[in-house]
Amino acid sequence: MTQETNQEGSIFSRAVALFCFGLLGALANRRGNPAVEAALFYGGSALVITWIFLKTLGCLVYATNAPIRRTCGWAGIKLVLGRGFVLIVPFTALALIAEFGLGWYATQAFASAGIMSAGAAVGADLIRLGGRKLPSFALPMLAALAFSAVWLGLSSTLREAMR
Amino acid sequence: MTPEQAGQSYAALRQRRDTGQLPDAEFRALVGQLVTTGADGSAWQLDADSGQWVAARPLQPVPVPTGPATNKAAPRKPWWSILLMMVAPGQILAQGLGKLSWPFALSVSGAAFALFFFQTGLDRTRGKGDWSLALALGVKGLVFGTIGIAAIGLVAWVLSQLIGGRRSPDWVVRAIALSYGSALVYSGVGLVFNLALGWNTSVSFGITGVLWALGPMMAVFKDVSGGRTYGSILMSTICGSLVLVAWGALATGR
Repeated sequence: MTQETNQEGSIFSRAVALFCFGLLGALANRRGNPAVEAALFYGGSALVITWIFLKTLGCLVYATNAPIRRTCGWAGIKLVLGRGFVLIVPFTALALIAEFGLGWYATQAFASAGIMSAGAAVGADLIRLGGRKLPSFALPMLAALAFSAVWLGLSSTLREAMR
Repeated sequence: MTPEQAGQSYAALRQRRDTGQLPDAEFRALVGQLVTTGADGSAWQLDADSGQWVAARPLQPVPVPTGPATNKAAPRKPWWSILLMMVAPGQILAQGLGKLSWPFALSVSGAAFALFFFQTGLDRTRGKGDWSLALALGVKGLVFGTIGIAAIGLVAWVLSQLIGGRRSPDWVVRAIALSYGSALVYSGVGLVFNLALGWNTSVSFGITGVLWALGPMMAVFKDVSGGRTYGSILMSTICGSLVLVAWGALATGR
């Protein structure tokens, strides 16, 4: 029962995180092309690359962190990733306030900060669960840094492609 | 029960709690039962947050982490706690914020927002050679970073009571103010680039620092709410929004 609840919670957290990244993707390119089709395309693309990133990070943690693999398994790693990346929610909410309430065009700053915070949270969680310190902390942080760079690069590439 | 047995039970319970197999409240209740007796007959129990031995309190199985026993583990240099709060907020919070006083914590957030608002003024008046707006905004930032953040901390404490908060108002205000250590670091670095290279740094450095503070703030709210992730996210969103809107209104006039 508890495991089922955890699994549902993990799926829900990752779904919320994916939705937020989709929203940030759509928001980041809104001023370049405000059409609904463009927003769906950007949002969908953001959702796909985030899903690929989370899968890749999960596989890397599983492959490089033996203590975590032994104690938590694949399901535990997915739980940690969901718990870490759901922290993108406040950043998304603040990006929405900044965009629609304050009229700033700074969605990418919110996305980058959110990705790095989520990476740090995943690292801290892995250490707390008994993972080896260096791979537990460095891997999610480096992965988050790389994802942040890919996010920014892909965002401008897609914007150019949709013009 | 021997200390070794209690330590092993604590580790097993903590792992079950951290992997989501055991609710936090149940974890604390079970840890409260791990009591051992010293050679002099005194009773000891494990602190649920730090895992350290503290004097047992029969009528209060969950020890309050701000007690004198946990304060001993606090960082000796207060400035070190600012950096630690940025990268490992859980460690500082597990130590019950140590001996960090509220004036120190509020001076961190006060200095952070003073520098942040000052840079906003510099950005807004670049090339005009008039520093009066920047200085006025710096003072506004100082007031907001102390009184404003203390008020936001109190709002957060009130909200935390709705989801079963277990911390004092003083603790919440100190923890939230200290969360803005990242904003202080970013604003300090940003000011160097602003003055030396003439860059507009209020958004690139200032906002980034304030956003970075959301991470430690979520750890604070998670602690306050007894480990509730969604409760901590909601509270961080509310407090982060208040700060963002206040900066927009006070420093940029939007």
